[in-house]
Amino acid sequence: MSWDFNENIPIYQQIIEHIKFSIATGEYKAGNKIMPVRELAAAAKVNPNTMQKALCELEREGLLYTQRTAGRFVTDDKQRITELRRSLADEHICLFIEKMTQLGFTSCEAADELAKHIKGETE
Amino acid sequence: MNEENFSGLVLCGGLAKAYGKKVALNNVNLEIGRGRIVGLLGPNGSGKTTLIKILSGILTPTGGTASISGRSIGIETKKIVSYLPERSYIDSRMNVKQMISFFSDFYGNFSAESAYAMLSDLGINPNDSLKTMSKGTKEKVQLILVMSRKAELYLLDEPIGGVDPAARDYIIQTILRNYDENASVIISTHLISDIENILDEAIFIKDGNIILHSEVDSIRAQYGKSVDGVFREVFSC
Amino acid sequence: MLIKLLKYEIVSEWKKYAVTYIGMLILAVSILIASNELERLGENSFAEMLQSLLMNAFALLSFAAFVMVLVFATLRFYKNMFRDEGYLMHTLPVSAMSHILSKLASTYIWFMLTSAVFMLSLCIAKGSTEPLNGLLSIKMYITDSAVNDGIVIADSSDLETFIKLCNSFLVKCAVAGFFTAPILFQILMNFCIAFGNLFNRHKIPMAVVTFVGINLISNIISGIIMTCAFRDAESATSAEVISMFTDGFIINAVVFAVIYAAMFCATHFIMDKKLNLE
Repeated sequence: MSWDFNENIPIYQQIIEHIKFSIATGEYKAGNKIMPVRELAAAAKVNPNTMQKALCELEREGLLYTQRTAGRFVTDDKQRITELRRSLADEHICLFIEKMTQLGFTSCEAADELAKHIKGETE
Repeated sequence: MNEENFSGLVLCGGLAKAYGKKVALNNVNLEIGRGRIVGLLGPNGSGKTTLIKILSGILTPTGGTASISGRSIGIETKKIVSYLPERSYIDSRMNVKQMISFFSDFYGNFSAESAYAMLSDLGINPNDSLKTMSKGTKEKVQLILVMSRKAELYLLDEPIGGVDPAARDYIIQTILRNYDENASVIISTHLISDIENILDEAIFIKDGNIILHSEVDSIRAQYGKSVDGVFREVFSC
Repeated sequence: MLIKLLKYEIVSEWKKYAVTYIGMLILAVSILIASNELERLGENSFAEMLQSLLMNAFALLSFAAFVMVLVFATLRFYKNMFRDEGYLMHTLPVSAMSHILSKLASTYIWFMLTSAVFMLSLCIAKGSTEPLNGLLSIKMYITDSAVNDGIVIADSSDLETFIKLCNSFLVKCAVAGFFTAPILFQILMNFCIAFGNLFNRHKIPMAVVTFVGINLISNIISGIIMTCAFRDAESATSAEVISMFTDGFIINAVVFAVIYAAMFCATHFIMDKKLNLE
C-alpha cells in the first residue's frame, strides 16, 4: 500500500493508521520483522523522527515490539491482531452509519441497504 | 538560554546583519538540536539566505553571536558544516572527477565512494566537464558533493528549486538516507509542500525576524492546515 | 593546507601560461632559424625583415607574458575570493592567511617561471648562452666591492665615480625590484579589491579609486622624502649627493615597507573578519 498523506493533519497519526491497516490486512505479517526506521522513513518520504514517534506509539499499543539487536517486529499475538481488525472495522462502520445518517437513513434503514447490497453481490 | 548548558547544534543569540540602513536580520534567537531536519521558510528577501550564509562563514554578522557545536564560526565549524548555496560555485573549467579530488583533499569527512555512487545513480559521467553540463545537472553535482560529506550541519539553500521532479525525489531520498541523529539539516526553501513531510521543525522568517519556530506536527494540529497552508496564510500579501 | 591551495592555484592557471611559454619558445626557435638563414643567404632584405618581425613579435610576447602574470593574478584573486567561487573557497576549513599566501606564492612562481622561460628563449634565439652573461654583469655591479664601498679611486674623476656608484645603486634597486615587484604589486591589488568589497555598491569602482588613491599618496610621500633628502644638494659633493640619495631611498623603502605591510594586514583582516560575499 502506498503512503499517501494529508498534510493538513499531523503526519505521525497518519503513519500509525497506515501501519495499523497494513498489520490488519496482513501486509505486515504477524511476527515478521519490519524495515529499520530510516528505511521506512525514506520509503514513506517522511521525517525519521516522526516515523520513530509513530513506531514507539505502536509499540506502546502492543502492535510492534523491539528486540534489542534484532530490530522491530510485528506482534505475533494473533488475538491482538484480531482485536485490531475489529477496531478498524468498527471505525469504518461508524463512518458508514454517520454518512448514511447524513443522507437521511436511520440505522435500521442503513442496515437494510447494506443487506440488500450484499445480497445483490452474491446473486 | 544558558550557552554553557546548550548541548544542541546551532545557537544564535541576538544575531543581526545590516547593510547600511537595510536590515537583513534583526535580533535572531535560535536553538536547533541534533538529529533535526529543519525548514527555514520565508519569502524572498526575508533573511533566510543571510542566516545561512552567516552560519556557513561567508558573511559576518553586524551584531549578536552564532555558534555551531559550541564553537564560534571559523575554521573548526567549517570542518563540520556542509553548505549548498543557491548559486553555482564550482570552477567550471574542472570536470567532476577533479571536483571530487578537490573535496577529498580539503575535507577529512568527504567520501568519494558515496559521491561516485550517487553520480552513477543519477547517470552523470564523472569525466564530464562542468562547462558542458546543463544548469540542472550542475546543481545535482553540487548537491552530491555536499551530501557526500559526513558533516554535523548541512545547510541547503533552495536544494530542489531548479530541479526536475524525479531528481527532487532523489534529493529528498538522499537527505533521508543520510539522516544521522548527531547531525542536522537546515533546508531553506519556498517550495514547502514538496518537503514538509520530511521536516521535524519549521522556522518562519519574515523581514529578518523569526515569527514562528515549531515542530511541524504541532503546527498541523494547531492550525488544522499543512505547513504550506499556514505559510500562505501568514505571508499573504 | 597551504601546499594544497598552492597546488590548486597552479592547476587552475597553468594552461594560460603554457600557451604563452610555447609561443615564446616557438618564436625564439624561429628567430634562430631566421638568423641562420640570413647568415647563409647573406644580404637579403626579405630575410632581414622577417627576422626583425620575429624579434619584435618576441619582444611583444615576452612583455605581454610578464604583464599577464600580474593581470591574471589580480583577476584570479578577485574571481576566486570575491565572486561565486568564493562560496566554495571561503567555506573550506582553511584560514584567510593561507588563501592570501597561496596566491602570493603562486604569482611569484609564475613570475619566476616566466623569467626563466624568457632567459631560455633569449639563449635559443641567440643560439648560445651569451644572454646569461648579461646576468653575470649585473651580478658584478652588485658585488664589485670597490664600487660598493664608494672608495674614490685616485685617478678616476669625481664624475666617473659618481656614475659608477649610481649605476651600482640603480642596478641593486632594479634587482631588488625584480624579486619583490610581483609580491608588492599583488599585495597592492589584493588590498584594493578587498577594500572595494567592503562597500555595498560600486565595489569595483571603489577598488579602482583605492588603487589610484594609494598610487597618488605613494608618489606624494616619495616626493616629500626625496625633496627633504636633497635639501642642500646644490652645495654638496658627489659623495654627499650619493649618500643623500641612498638615505632618501632607504627612508622611502622603509615607509613603503610599512605601507605594504599595513595593506597586507588590512587585506587579511577584511577577509577574516569583514567578509561579505553577496
